[in-house]
Amino acid sequence: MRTSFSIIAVVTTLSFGFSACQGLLQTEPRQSVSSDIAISDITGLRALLISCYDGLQGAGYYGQRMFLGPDILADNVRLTNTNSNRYFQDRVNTPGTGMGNWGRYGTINSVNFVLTGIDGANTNQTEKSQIRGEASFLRGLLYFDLIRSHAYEPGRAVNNWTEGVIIRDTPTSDASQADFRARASVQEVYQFIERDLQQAIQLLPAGGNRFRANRSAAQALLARVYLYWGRWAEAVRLATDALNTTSATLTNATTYPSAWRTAPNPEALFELSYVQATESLGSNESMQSLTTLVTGAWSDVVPTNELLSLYEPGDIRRALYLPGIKAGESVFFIQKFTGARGPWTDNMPLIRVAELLLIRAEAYAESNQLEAGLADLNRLRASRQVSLVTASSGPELIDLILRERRLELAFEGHRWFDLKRKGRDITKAGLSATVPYADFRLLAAIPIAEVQLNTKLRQNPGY
Amino acid sequence: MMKQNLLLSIALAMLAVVSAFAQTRTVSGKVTAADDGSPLPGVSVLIKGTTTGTTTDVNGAYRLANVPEKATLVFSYVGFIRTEVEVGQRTELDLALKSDEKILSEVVVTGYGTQEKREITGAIASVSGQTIQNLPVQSFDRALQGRAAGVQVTALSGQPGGGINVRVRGVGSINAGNDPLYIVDGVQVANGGLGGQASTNVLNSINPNDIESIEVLKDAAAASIYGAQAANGVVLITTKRGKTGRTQFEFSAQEGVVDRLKKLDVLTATEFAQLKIEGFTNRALAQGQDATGVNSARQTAIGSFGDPATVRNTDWQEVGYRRGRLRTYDLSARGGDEKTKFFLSASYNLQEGQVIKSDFRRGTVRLNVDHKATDKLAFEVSINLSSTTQNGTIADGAFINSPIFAGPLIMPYQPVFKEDGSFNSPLAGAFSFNILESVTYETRKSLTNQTVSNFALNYVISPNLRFRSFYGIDYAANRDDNYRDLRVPQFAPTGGSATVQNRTTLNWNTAQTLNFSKRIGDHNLGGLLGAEYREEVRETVTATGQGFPNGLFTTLAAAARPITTTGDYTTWRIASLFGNAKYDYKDKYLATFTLRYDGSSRFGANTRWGLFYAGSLGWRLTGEEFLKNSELLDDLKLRASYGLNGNSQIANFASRALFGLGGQYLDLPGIDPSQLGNNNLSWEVAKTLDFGLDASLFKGRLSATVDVYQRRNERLLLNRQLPSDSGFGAITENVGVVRNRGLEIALNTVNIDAGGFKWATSFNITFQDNKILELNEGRQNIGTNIRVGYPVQINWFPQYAGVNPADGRVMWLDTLGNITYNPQARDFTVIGSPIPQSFGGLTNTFSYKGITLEVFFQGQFGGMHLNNDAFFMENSVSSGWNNLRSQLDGRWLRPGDVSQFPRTYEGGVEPGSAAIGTFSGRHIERGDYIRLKQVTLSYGLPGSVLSKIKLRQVRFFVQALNLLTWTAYTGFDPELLGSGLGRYPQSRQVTGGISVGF
Repeated sequence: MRTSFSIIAVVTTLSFGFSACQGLLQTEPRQSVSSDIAISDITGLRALLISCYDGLQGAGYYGQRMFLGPDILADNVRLTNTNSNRYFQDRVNTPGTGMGNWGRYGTINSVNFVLTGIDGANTNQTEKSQIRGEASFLRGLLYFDLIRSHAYEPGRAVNNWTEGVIIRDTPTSDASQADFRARASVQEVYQFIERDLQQAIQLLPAGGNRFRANRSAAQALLARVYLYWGRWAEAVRLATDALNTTSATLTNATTYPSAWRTAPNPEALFELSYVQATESLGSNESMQSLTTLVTGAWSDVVPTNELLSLYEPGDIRRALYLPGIKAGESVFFIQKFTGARGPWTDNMPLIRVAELLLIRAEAYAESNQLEAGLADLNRLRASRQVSLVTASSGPELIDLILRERRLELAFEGHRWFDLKRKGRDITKAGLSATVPYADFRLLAAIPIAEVQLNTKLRQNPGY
Repeated sequence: MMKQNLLLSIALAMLAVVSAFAQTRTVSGKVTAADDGSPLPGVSVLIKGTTTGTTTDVNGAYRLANVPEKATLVFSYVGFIRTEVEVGQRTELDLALKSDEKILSEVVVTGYGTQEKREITGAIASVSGQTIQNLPVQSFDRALQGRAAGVQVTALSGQPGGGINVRVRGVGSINAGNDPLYIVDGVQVANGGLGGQASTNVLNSINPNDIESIEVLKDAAAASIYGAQAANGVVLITTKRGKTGRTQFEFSAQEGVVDRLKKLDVLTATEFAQLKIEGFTNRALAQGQDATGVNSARQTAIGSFGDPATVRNTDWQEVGYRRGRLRTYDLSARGGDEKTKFFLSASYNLQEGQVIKSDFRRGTVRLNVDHKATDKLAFEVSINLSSTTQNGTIADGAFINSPIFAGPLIMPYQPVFKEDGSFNSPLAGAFSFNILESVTYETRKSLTNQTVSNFALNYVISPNLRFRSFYGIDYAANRDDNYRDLRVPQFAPTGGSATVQNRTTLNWNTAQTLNFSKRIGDHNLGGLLGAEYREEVRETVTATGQGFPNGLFTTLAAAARPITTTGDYTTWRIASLFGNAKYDYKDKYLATFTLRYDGSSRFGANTRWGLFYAGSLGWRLTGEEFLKNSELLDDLKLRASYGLNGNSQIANFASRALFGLGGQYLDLPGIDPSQLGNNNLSWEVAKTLDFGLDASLFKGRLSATVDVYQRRNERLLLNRQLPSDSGFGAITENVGVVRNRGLEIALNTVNIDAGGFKWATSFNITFQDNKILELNEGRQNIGTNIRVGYPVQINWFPQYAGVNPADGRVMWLDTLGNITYNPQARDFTVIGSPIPQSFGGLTNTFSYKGITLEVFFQGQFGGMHLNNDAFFMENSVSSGWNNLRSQLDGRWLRPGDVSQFPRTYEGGVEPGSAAIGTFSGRHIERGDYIRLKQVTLSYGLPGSVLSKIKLRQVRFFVQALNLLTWTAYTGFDPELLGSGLGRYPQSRQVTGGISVGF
């Protein structure tokens, strides 16, 4: 009797336990949320947009590589004799180095989530426009870095190679949407970028936070895009718009030296902010560690003698290079990134007033408006305490402007792209091996795993 | 286990009573243990040739009626030699039963029960606690190495108390875990290490001396009772329990030293400077510079690295190492009476690592109690508490502040101290940390308090049916302290930084089981039915602060700036129903069938529940008439099994579509899409086929177990690569097949047993083969290292073609087999696999009059390893770090030289060539080794002396671990896993001690 009672009790327990099991297996993560919540709620979209800015900050992008890579792949900077091997292959343009930016698609996907979700979000029209505008600016910036790294500029195809990059304007929310796509043409990608930036200009209010996308920054970026595109009149117009609308100002002999320790930099239309506690790239990967001589820094990256020799006496920009001894070697260290936001932490100005003047000057020069071009160039030179220049022809002025860009924008990641978009050979300042413009290394490789996976994706020639 | 067999005996006895027949006389007496004279309850007393019998009561007394004349009584009891006595005319018959060590070891712990070895139809490797008694190891998994066939044990780190990699029958999974399921007295222990400041091991909480036995369940038949968690094998650890009788105390103490195994032969400062000058000169010449330029390059080198004539050498490898101390104390008591039995132990273990400041300290307490409340109701409690403190060092990676990695690489012209006695830092070159300074000032401490305890209730419902209710908990609280002192120049800008991390792991399981057994004539039936539930919750809280007044204040409270506080939470659950049925006929034909139904929270909504099963058959040939009286064979059994197990070791939320924390900007938090969902994500399935043979020959002088197996791991969780322009790199899907095949041989022999001298050998060897059969969508490869037709791990590099005798440049082979100076991705090829093709162990034990010598060799063969350290240390002195002396002796000097290493070239990149330091076949080395793993010499005082000093047992011992190694591998240690880059090397331990029993 008792035995059978026990058996019944046990069997009942077992089956009760089992029927409750479905509920017993419910678990929820606490550091993550499910995707439908994330993109339908405005707080989720705001946070998604924040992660898009976060996506610009890494050392592989605007935290370091976009600032140093283009200068070291060309002739502005070099490595000290004793170094940590960083950028070693880039300095000698080993095939496979270069400004590959295929990794930008992760952030592009987040931007696409924002742009898809914002219309249905629970917020007012003002915030919707603001978020859509910022996201459009960021997508334009990301695609522009992709296209200028992996493709030729419109109209500059070598051997008729006009492949652009893959365009994705909707988010991937399940695996079936991760389809295989071919590269759009260079022209299509530039048009796509143009539309995004025009949308940003239209949606974003004037003024605004210079640490976030704003109307002037979108105008300035579009001016840069037109400059690469060879659409000179539009470049002039957008640069002018940006200069007129922004609160950023050109510094002078008094304000220039401190500009790089001020946040935002008085010249910056858009500056990437870094909070030391949470966003510092640390003693291994920060710009301060790579380019300055402080205790614990790598101090690897220094200007080439060629660059230093181009500065005229009295140039206030030359004073930004401080002499120092690195492992017995006498070199100079740039003082643009000196830990102004705390140890191993600097803000990164992405677009400056000085660059706008140079964009407009170049666009004028290209359209044979020498006087207007010289005026912009000399306005910048005057502010840097160097002699004014004259030029008798467009090409001569363009050469002067390219030299000025080298001096003004050193360590800011323009040099490689400037030579490339002008169709010029990449000179190496001290290294014998020039990279001719027609060399395949002018275009960064598409990651080999991507090409192997996606048969529609054509690799750049030579890789 | 004794108890359960006792219950079985009761059951048998009751059956026997039923079939009793006509009486003639009554015999009574008392049965005691020959060892200590204690009464033995529950001994079966049978009249030979009948089923008539009884069992002894709590006082060892029995009374048996109906004994015919000239009868013989058979006394049997688990763990004792079965004894037959002719009754003759006696009515009183007392007997002292002799214990049988051999028989004891042949009761094997299986899932949710025990079984006699001869009945087992699955593949199980057993290691007795005796084998690992008093070994100077922190966790028992280390001691398993080389002692169980089919079980490959590799140290993850030589850090005292560091992690261990255990692979049962090869590597079956590519992306899910490959660790076996560890069960300590029924408690399913959480996987993975606990601390973050040193390599740790979750099994550190168990004192190896508390272990009675370790069983490794290898095939599907043995392991499938654990269903979705069983695919990688199951390791059952049983701790010692109380014994009826006088309380026995055991005390042991040992003391020893810890030394490094190997020091690398690196360049002196003079040689280094000389080669640097050569490299700078070679570069200037290659760049076409004139004599002035070349001379200036030479002067630059001298300026940077010193003049070979005057430069002074510092041996940085000496800076980071020391001779460590090792000390353990262990005290235990076991005893009890009929109702209550106990085992109590306490231990303290200290081991200093051979790398400065690293150590391990642990205290443990264990109390195992068994109590019989009534004839039907019994309780078991096991409580284990441990506290472990580890001081770690920066290790197990290419860390420039690691004494292990940086020691041989810091440029040797730099002294440790400046002339004023302060630390010389930062240093020049890539290795800028003064390792002595950073280790001295840094704190890396990990404290873990852990309990693995359980409670069980056993109830005898009827003689054939028992119920067991089991509750187990594995709880660990861990605190990591890391302090980076502001006196280290690299940390000065932050003003010093402290991070504290608190982790708790709560992991509990409960199992309710019904156990059935019945013998009907020649048919023996057994069964098990149960339900189980397990939950694991891990939580972590981390806080960092920066800005300290000076190095004397190192706690978070003294930090000027709070920097971050973060937390992490994760959990998973599994619920199960299971059962098995066993049948044997006349102990000859054996069959077992197992079923388990598991649901895991880790899997997709559509595939949450799965069914696992296994069946096995056995045939005891020695039970057949034609072999019954064989002189040669004591026992011979053939086994076959097949079954399905699951592997559910994947991330807890792997099936969900998630947005995770995605950084921050302007002090606002971000989220970003972190994972694509997959509602069909499920466990991996392991299908194992096993054929085995157990034999015992020559009256136990030779015993052998041989198994051949094939395990197909199917539905492997593989990442299907997505085009990264989609924003995701991959999605995990159940596809792909890996096959493991192997042969396992275990032999135990007594070679000589004469004149008090005994020589016994225990040998095991495993041959294994691992191959990927299928990947997703018919692909031949995923990435570069996962390839159909090759093992799960391969070396994927271009072939090395040596040095061009004409100009001293490095050459590689391209895809066509031609020389190239610029290997491309297409030139990469498979150069062996680090997975060994065979491994094994050999123990020889010699004993003579109390002196015992145990010599244990362990080895591994057929693996090819990337010597990643050599990638740094053999790069022709072309970078800012030191190199091995081979770079001086073996380098190319002049045209015509056939040399192993290229000419020196500062920077390491000759024009038109890939870097000298390009990974290639040059760095792949044979990982074969044989290691004299353990030598123990011990002496036990003879009984005559013991009785005078009134002690039960006294042994003195000296032992050494990792004494000698034979290998062609040139890196630190062929045993360490993977590439071994910057791994904390293993150590040589030499200890001496005493163990006393009273």
